Amino acid sequence: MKIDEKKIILIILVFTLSVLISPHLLRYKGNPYLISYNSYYHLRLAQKIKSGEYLNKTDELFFGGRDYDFCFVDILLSLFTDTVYFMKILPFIFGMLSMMLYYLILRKINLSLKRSFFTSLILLFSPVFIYTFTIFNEYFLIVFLMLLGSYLLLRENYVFSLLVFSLITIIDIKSFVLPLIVLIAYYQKFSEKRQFLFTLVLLGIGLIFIYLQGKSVVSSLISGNLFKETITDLGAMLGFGIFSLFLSGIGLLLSWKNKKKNFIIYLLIIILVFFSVYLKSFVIYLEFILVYYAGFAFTKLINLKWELQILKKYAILLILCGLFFSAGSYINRVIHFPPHPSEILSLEWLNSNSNEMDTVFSHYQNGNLIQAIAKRPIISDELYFLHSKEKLRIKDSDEIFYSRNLDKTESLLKKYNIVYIWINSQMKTNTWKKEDEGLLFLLKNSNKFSKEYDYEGIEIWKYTP
Amino acid sequence: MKLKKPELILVLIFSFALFTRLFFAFQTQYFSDDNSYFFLRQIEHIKKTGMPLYEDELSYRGREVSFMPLYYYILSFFTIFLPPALVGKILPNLFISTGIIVIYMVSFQITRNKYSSLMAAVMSAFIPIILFETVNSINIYSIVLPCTFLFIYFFMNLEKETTSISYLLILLFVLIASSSLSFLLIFSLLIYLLFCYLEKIKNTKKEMELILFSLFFFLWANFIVFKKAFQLHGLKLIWQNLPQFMFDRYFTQINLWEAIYSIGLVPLLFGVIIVYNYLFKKKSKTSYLLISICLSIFLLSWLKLINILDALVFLSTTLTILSALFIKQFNLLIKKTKISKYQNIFILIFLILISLTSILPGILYSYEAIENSPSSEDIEPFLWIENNTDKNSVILTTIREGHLLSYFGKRKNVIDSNFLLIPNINVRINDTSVMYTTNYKINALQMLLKYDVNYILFSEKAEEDYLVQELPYFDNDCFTLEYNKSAKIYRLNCALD
Repeated sequence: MKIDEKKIILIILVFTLSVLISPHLLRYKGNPYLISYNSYYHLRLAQKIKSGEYLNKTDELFFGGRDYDFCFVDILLSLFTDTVYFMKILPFIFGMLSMMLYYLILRKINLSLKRSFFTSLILLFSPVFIYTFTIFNEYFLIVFLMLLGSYLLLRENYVFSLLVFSLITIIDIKSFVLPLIVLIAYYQKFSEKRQFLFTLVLLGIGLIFIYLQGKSVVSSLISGNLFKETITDLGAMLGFGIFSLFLSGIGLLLSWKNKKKNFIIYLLIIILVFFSVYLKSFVIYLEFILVYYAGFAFTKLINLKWELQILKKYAILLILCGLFFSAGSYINRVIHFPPHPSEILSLEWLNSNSNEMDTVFSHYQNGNLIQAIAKRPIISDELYFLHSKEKLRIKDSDEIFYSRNLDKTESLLKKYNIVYIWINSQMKTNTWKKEDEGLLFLLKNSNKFSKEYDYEGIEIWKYTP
Repeated sequence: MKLKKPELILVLIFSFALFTRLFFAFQTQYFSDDNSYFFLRQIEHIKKTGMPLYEDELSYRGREVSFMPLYYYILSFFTIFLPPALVGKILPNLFISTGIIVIYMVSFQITRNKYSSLMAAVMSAFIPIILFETVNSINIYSIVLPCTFLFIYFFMNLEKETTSISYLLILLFVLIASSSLSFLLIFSLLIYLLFCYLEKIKNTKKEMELILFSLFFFLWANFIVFKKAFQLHGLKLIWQNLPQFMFDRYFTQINLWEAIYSIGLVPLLFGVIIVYNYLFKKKSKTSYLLISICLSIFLLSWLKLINILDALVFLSTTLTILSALFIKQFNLLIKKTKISKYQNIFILIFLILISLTSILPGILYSYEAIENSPSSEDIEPFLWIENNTDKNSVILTTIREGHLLSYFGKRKNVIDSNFLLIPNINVRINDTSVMYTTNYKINALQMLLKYDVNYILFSEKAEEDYLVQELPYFDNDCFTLEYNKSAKIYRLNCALD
């Protein structure tokens, strides 16, 4: 039976549409707000650009001030009138385009129709893909450009391809390795030796980068958190699905037959793994390569001649169910990702019941949401956590969270001019293990703190020196 | 001795074993272990709602429960015809008794001798440890054990019979959907592959496909069902989040003599001889399959990946099957010698030995199991709790009484024996111990209030587990003795200022 390629493309597009739109549709009824706290950072910056406030100004909603850290996506977003709407629609559009490009790239490198189809589907059902093109983040554009650049390269449009790759480096300097990886992997004119040399250089850059970050991969592995941080089925926010990872593993093993041919790709995978330990975004890029091998394993399984045909059917069914399960459970998680309406409500209350310069203390993960909705200064946020070297404010925050010593806590609250403390349900379960631990004890037992707001698990306390 | 109707004898053995089991089971209206009441609650819930009780409001004052549900569904299906308690008494005994037939089939498969297979069937009917664990309890062995060996039987026939694969797939599904103990079978199959490789015996493609599929299916199903538990406990999930103080006891609670007594001397001795012979002297693919189970048990026990009870239950059954091979070979040997005319005497000696080392200990163990069941007096406090306390009350009991409270008292407990998905289990164990043993009222009150305890049940089990004669911090200011018969129930009246 001859398979019509147009039909295949149409099926992929329909599937992509359904997968990418379902989290928004399912979430909208109970929670119409943007998905993830980080989106609110981009929302605020896009609004700042639009209003022109960012010119020659530091971020006043960060205690002590801080330079704005604009992403290209924020500039892009500021071009649209209805920012919130476009924050939902832009990743979706780029997701559709990226999926199409990925399929075309697979076809371009001479993969069979069947294999290209299954590989694209595995990618589509991967949590990484759902995350990248459902939640507004700084990576969806880079992924798209990466795929576009690679496709143009394969079509031998070198000038345009290099232009696109340069654009990636301009948008996000940290992603400079991506074009290099693509060039090394695809550029056939390089001799094997030269390819290897380039890879080694890249590996060297990676090692220097890791050294500068001051962390150890080994310690990350030993701590045992690596699985929890990289596999979404085990709790990671951005990571691989366990079943597609399993398939990729099999694919890599199967490809070992042609290890000489694949050697450079293996090295590039190792480099990306190293990078992804420190820069979460590299998990996204890595997934695009791993899925290629997952597709290889899956097609091999389908083409393999089994003695027990019934087992073959069940094995394929199990794998498909596993992939759907990973995607389904991740979509279900995305639907319930914060912020929740109760959090937005409480911050709107805070906005109308506090003074403009009153600093709000909370967990660093809540920082961007507080800035965007309550429009009040905070002392730390995700950006600070990721990029600050000494992490002094994180250490101080921990001191406030866990100390029962009122004098110590008060001195820190005064240091940052903290007036309000915003506590959500997540903090109650994740930050503290006991109900009377550290700050919770002080809030209940010191008359310097008064509860100003308590609704649906959100508490706002006021500190009066 | 030439048996004319071995099948008839087999049916007689089966009927006798089932009758004996039911005789013991109906000596008491209660079950021997607390865990049976967890099964009963699940069965009743499935009967009512069609779904297992995954959100248990009573256990640990409300928690999520994770388990493989198929066996609960099978049992609850029979509640259409019988009351749940009766289903709990009859069905597990019926299922485990069918194991006798399965063992006969497997033994026949490896010996092609009906007489020795019947001997194995007799031994399997009275394995002491299995009788003790299953005669008056609802537990997973009743389904896992017969299904595992039936799987082995069909696996041995995989090449010969084309229908085997369908049965194998059904059995694989039943095993995996019933319990994670199916891991033992999967692991044994992998060891079997290794064995064949080392012995340079070629495995068929069908075997390879089935084993790999089984492994993948097992991992897949367990990951889906125990995903949350894996997220919470990580690799500790393997040990079911067992508290530290129970961990060592869990693996070393039986000494060598007890192990011999639990398995039965004859199957142990004969089985070990066969394992030795086939490991070092002879080659047989089918025997390797059974020997792989023994080796897996040793390996997993050594690595503390299965508890000693699971190990003994599976080891005893496997050795019983291997004993059939010994009996057959022994008979063949006798036939070649001058004493062949005394063959019947040897059979008699075997039977006497089996009676003395398997049947007698088996019956004694069954008595012990019945003795361990709670009496009406023991249950009375729980019924009092149900009738005299508020529906939202939290009752402090020992770990062993947690499920009893949930089933009979229908009130929230602080702790029970299902530790999976409970964060910081060691803290809770320690807190429970403090609530029973501390001499300081202030400490006790802190803990009691932490868990919102309204009543404390002080029973004989609390005396045994915590080595105290009475509640050390009891006084009339804070506590009222509400019930004082076989056990004491105290009500907490005050709070911390």
